Amino acid sequence: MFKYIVKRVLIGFITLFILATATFFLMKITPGSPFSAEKYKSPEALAAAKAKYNLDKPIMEQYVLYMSDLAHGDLGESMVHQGNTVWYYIKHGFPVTARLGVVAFILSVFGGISLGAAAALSKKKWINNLCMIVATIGVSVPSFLIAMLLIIVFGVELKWLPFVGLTKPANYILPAISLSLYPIAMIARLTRSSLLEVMKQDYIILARSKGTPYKKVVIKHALKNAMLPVITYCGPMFAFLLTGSFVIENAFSIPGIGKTFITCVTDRDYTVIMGVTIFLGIIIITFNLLSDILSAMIDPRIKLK
Amino acid sequence: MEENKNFEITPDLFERLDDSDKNAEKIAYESKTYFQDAWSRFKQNKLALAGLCFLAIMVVCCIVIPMVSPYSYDAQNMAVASQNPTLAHPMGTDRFGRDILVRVMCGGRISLSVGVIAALIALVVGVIYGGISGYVGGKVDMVMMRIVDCMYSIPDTLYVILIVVVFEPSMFSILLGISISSWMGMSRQVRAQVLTLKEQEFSLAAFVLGASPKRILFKHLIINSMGPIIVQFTMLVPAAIFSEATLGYLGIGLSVPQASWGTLANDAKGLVATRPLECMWPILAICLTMLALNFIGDGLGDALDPKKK
Repeated sequence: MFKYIVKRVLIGFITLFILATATFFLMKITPGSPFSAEKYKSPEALAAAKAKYNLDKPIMEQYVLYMSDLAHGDLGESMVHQGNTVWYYIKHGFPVTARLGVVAFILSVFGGISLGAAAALSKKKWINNLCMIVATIGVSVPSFLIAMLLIIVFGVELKWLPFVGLTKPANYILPAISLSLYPIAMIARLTRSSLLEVMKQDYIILARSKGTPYKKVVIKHALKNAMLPVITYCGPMFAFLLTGSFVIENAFSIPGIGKTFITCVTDRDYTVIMGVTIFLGIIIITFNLLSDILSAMIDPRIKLK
Repeated sequence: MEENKNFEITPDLFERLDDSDKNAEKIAYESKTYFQDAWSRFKQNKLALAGLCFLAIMVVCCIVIPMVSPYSYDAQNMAVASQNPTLAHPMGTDRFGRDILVRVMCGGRISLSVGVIAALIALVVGVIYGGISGYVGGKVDMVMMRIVDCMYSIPDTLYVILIVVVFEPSMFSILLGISISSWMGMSRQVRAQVLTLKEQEFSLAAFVLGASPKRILFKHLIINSMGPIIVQFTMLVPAAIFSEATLGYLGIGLSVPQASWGTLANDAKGLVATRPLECMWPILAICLTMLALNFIGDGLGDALDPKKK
């Protein structure tokens, strides 16, 4: 177990290193520069600005400097809005994204599991069909389209719910639904197929024949054992919720990290693009790692390679 | 001697067989090839068939409507700006008086071709990479698959956005970004297939007959894993359309006046409050096409891999 964790952490670090290196060199070969604004008319000002960001040094030296800063947790300073560090943007944007992400996460897990369990256990045909329709729509329709449909129907036409910003609790409803429809569909599919599999197992039949009430069998024995694929999916789901919120923040005008990232992409603010990419990379890799380790700890049948 | 006499063979011991019995061993049905068999299974799936019909109609419309329509996708006519659907403009006009039907169909040309081309690139790269990794095996396989694992753990959206930033938004950079982010799944699938197939007798037979590794890999192993490859491909197309639409929606897709479904949705974003009908068309086009493609993919999955069910 310990060996497995060490190996996974090591691979995580290598992934992160590759991501940082690739992002750095991609940004270096990008044409165009953020220093084309009015204030850099004089060559001295331009040279000073370049010196500030080490852009006058050879590329390998820049790389080494960037990586050593990175190792110390220093992500640099914005090239467009000077004086603002990359951490400033992350500190302002990430908590907003994280709040929306947590709401969407809870919604996905509960919605997905109940939908999948209903589809697997219900004897009624229409419940099964309904669950499968939701699962199909969730997987095949892009989240921004769902967001736009929800805005049109519930925001504009019916005027039931607010759809700009993230100030009141009611503001969370529409963004969280549009963000979590895809994970709900995925979790529902996973839960349904693994629950159907588990219900056929001998220990379920044994529990039933010993006279355990049906509800107790489902909750204590079946669901608990059917949760493994869902736990493994939680890592990729975090990644999805983080990057998926780029689109959702855009649709609902939410000032999160995704909106910052897209603004910086259009402004060509390289340091912030790099910093935010690496920051998101760290979070996603960590969650992937956690969900893998968690599922290995829960299920002794998983072979630790 | 007495006994032998009893066994004398005379012609009347034999009876002529009825002609109909001769065909007892004959196979009544013409034998079907793999793809005919799959098609007959696919046809039974109504949802998948409906998806296929819808997709065919959509493709024909995307090709024909911009050709026969009197309007072009970028011709502005302020006299008819922001109209609701009329006979002349079945989907109405946008705020510059451009015909929305033609714009949506031109957008469809771009979105669908991005989807298919990106999926094809991912298919070729994934098949070659996964094939080599699975066939060579050992250390090479381990290193190649670790690289895939690393790339897999970083979400597609990040790659695509970074690459589009580096190479400026254009058809080329969008295709490059989407293909780079989507070949990994295909390579894993192909590797798994090759790993199991290369242990089978026909592969050994080909080796004994002196076939080169290249020939065994491409002519035998990959041809035999065509089913899963096709299924994976039909899943890649909607995923690529999805990525392209997302980019367009975020405003880093193709630049005006060119329009894909994603950029049309982005254009219409500001009109959600005032003219919801106008935003509905690109949304509807993407939703229905994605659903159709997903149904086709599911149907093909069941048709090509009957064991899975």
